[in-house]
Amino acid sequence: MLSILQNVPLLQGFSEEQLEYMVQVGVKRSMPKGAFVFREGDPAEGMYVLLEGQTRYFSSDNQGKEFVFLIAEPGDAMGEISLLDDEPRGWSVQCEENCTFLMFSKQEFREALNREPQVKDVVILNLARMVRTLSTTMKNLALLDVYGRVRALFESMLETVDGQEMISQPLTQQAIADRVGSSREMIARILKELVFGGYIRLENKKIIIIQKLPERF
Amino acid sequence: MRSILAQTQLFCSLTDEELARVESLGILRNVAKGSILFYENDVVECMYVLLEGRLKLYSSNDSGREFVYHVAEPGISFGELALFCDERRSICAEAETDCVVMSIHKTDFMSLLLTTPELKDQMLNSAMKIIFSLTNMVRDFALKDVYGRIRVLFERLAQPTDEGLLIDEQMSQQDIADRVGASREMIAKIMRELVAGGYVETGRKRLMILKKLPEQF
Repeated sequence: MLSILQNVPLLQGFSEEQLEYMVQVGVKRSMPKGAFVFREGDPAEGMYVLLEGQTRYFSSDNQGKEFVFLIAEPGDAMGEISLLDDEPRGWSVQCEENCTFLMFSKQEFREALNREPQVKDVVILNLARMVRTLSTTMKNLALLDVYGRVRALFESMLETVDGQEMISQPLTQQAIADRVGSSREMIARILKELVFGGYIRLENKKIIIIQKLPERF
Repeated sequence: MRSILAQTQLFCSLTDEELARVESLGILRNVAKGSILFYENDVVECMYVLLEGRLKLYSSNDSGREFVYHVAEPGISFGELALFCDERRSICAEAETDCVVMSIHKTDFMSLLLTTPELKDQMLNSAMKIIFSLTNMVRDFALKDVYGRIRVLFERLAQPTDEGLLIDEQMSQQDIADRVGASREMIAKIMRELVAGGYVETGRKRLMILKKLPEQF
């Protein structure tokens, strides 16, 4: 567990003692795929450091349309904002895979924040990054069309595996739609055209990029 | 200047002596109406406090379409979060009127944080506010139509006065379009309908809300 925490980018610079303390006060929890860590509007009781798995932060309207703000990876902190301002949760967080977390209560988090000045720096850095991510998301929503947003999403997820550019994470059409603020039908159309134009290939739920996606659709 | 600094949320907990230090580190700059304080992608070197005037924080795309995140008023600090994690500006700042801006260089601001660590609490506060407002903006964009976004904007800007709910900001149809991410034509159409329906009254540089705007257009 200590070795996992040592690899958390946010906790770089923490001494072994500080990390050990975290392991002591934190409660390790596992949640299955599909479970909610918390829901929009819930009162906030704790914060979490994701150790394994993936979660998605999203908001939905009363017709069930969803928008995914971001996807958290191991090492990301979740839910600390509501502990700072005592407001209810501003979005829902759901496990995309089976996940394990280290959970800290509101009181522990607040104490650590006041006792260890480093913790405050880490939280500021984390929030500053979130501001950056959200403003990029906002910019894309306001200034790019759906195709432009799909392209930006693909570029942000691109990996090179065996010399081949691809998006190896399985993405359903609905998952893409929820991340770019569009409908499944629209995404289906865009993907079909990209396959037809020889830009991408769909293989075992992976999206293989054959050539650089065009600027415009 | 001291009094504006004391009213700036970031510096509100500082003593007179500490404010004097802030003042001594700051460099004053006049920014003429219409000129740019920083562009997207500029290297991040300092943070700013707006002392006089109005400043528009926005992004634009290749075809010249703009999206305005916020119009800053005197006593607002900005760019301090970027000092923690960004190398480049993710947005652009332009003077809407003649402005006076105080800038504090990154190294000076970091040393200020060491001597007055309570600034960090204010940074956390402002980060949370920005995240809250960006989350709402993103949610409105992804899940609401143009009319829904106009309604939210009007409800946010309207101030109760003796005459009723009034939006006193000088907003052209293009300004509204840039804040809700739509075309001027679309705004013109919606405004016409709202006036005809007796919901709003448009006058010289102002807008009066006569009755609660309908949920759906």
